[in-house]
Amino acid sequence: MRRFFQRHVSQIALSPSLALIAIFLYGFIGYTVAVSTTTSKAFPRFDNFVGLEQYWRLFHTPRWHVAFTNMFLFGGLFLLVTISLGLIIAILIDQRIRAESFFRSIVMYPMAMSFVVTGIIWQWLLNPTLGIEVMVHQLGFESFRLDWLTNPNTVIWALVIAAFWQGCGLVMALFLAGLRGIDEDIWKAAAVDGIPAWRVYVFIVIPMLAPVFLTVVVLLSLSIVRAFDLVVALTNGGPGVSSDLPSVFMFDMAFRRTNLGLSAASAVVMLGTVLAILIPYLYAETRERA
Amino acid sequence: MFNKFGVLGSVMALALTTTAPAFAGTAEVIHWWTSGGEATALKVLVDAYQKTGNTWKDNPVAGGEAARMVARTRILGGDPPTSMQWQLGAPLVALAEEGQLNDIDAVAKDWDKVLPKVIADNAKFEGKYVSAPIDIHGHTWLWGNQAVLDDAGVAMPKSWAELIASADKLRAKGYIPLALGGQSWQEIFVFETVLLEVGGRDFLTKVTYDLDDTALRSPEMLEAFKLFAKVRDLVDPGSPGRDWNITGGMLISGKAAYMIMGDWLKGEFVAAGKVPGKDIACEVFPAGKGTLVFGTDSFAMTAVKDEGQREAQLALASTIMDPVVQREFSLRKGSIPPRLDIDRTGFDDCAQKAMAEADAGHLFLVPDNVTDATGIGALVDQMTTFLHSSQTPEEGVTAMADAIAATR
Repeated sequence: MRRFFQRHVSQIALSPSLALIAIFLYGFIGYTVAVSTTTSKAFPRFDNFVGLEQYWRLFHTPRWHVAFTNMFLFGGLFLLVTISLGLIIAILIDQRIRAESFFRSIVMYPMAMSFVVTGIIWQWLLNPTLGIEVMVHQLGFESFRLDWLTNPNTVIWALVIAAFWQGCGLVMALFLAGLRGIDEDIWKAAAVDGIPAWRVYVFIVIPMLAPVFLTVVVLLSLSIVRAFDLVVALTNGGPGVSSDLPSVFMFDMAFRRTNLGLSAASAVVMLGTVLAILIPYLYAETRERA
Repeated sequence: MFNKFGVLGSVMALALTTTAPAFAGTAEVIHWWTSGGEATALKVLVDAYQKTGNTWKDNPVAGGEAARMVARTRILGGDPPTSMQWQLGAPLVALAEEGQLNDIDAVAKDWDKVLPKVIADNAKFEGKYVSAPIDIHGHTWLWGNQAVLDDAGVAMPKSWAELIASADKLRAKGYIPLALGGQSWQEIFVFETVLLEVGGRDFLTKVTYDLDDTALRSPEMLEAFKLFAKVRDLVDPGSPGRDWNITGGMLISGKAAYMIMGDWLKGEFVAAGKVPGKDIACEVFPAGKGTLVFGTDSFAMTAVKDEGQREAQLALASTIMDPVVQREFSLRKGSIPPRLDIDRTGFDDCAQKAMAEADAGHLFLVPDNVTDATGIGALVDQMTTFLHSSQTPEEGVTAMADAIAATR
């Protein structure tokens, strides 16, 4: 008996959390899939199976197309901007500059803010009748325009800027930690060979940071999919529905429009999208290391 | 034995200390009236209710959606509040169909005579009252800053044609013609007035109640979108996403000339020391169409079983419909009473206009309470998308009709 416990102690310790995950994660994923095959309105009901009809309806809803496209647009731009600028800032701070902790704090501070606060700050700054635009007008540049927030074609950039401002600190910190972990000897060897610093970064250091990239991409991808509060605080989906994201669409359908069936279908599509992107990536990464 | 004495003792104590009716009970009420003006109005109801010898157990939840969610959760959990604020029409029927409501016909014998028919019909389930209405708020009002209109030499418009004709004069004087908070729930009021202007009450019914495909693709609809497209030029660049009360501030301060908004906006006028009907002109818009889109605050009565709670519930229903309570409540809230037979002295000019519309049978229940939420939601989504894009009216008509068709 005692040997049994000794041999299986890890399984026993893990089993409660595994059970919880099985119920509250996979159980409810299954439940959501089941709801998405019904015409449930305000309350979930399972006596009205309609197959994939809600999915057909979903992809004939213009607002869903906007939201779905926006997720890729916002996600792509946010990843690109945050990773590239976060890396550059980390490299600059890594140059053994003076007052390093001061600059590090400046970049890190926005991370302490919630997305709601971030959204409201940027809503004020980018508002064309009381924000930066008015300030520049008062300085005398009357023709200056900054209408990103109120123009449906550019509003996604307003989201990207606010999200970048909030997320940059974390990315910078991760890259900085990665850079500090790189062996000094590599730099010395490169210096002996007379290789310029930018080439060392591009061909040696950055490839060595691959695991950090994986962490950053996973963390940022998660914040893209759950970017709900930022949109609600910054634009509330507007102007019109031009800055809608799938999460906002899903919430609206479930609680304002009382259409649980359609809402569940959109949730399942969101989950499918995330898995389609992350699984091959994680698979490749874990195989390489194994 | 001890128990019996305990009960007897407490009954005697109660009889000695109060002169309340035999069934004094407690009514727990969930509502979303948490702001200053709302709380003052609610106090009228609470005080009147306490005088009946029953106890009001207050359960305020900020925000209508949140409050309804709390109420729904309580009902699903088998512990319903005695009563809760709930919309009339389809949402009420949905609840009644689940068997979650009590009828209150015992105290509602004469309600049919004193309530506008549209409210009476929508407060009932299978011919019996299940909800007690306490106020009426009109949605499709045009407000105009009188000082601004005088300065530009413009008369308060009675139609969209007149409003658009006056825009150039207002712009020439540096005013923003229309203050609009660019959120879809505010924009829909504007769209409804546009539909009325083009096709009157019948057309509004076909589009927003029936979501009728023929009406949605009709020449009138194209005309409505052409008119609605002009709204893009009447507003300022800061409009998208702006809150209604900040937008109201633009009207009050004289930056903008007009605003289309529900009559809860009057609270902002009064707070700023402006008199509705004098400093801020009001018009049921467009005039002469015989239609005022309205919403009602009402209290649904849940399916409580307990005799004491049941009595408390009935007492609550009759207190809500008490003529004095209805009058005092609306005077404080800026609404008008659903009862048509109350003393109307003391109400401002705009409220008098609204009551005249109610007398004439011009009330039009807000489509949210009538139409399938997904269908009307698709209409709202396309309406706001159109307003904030450069879609042509032709594209707007097709996009809206297609989006609504997909929800069927």
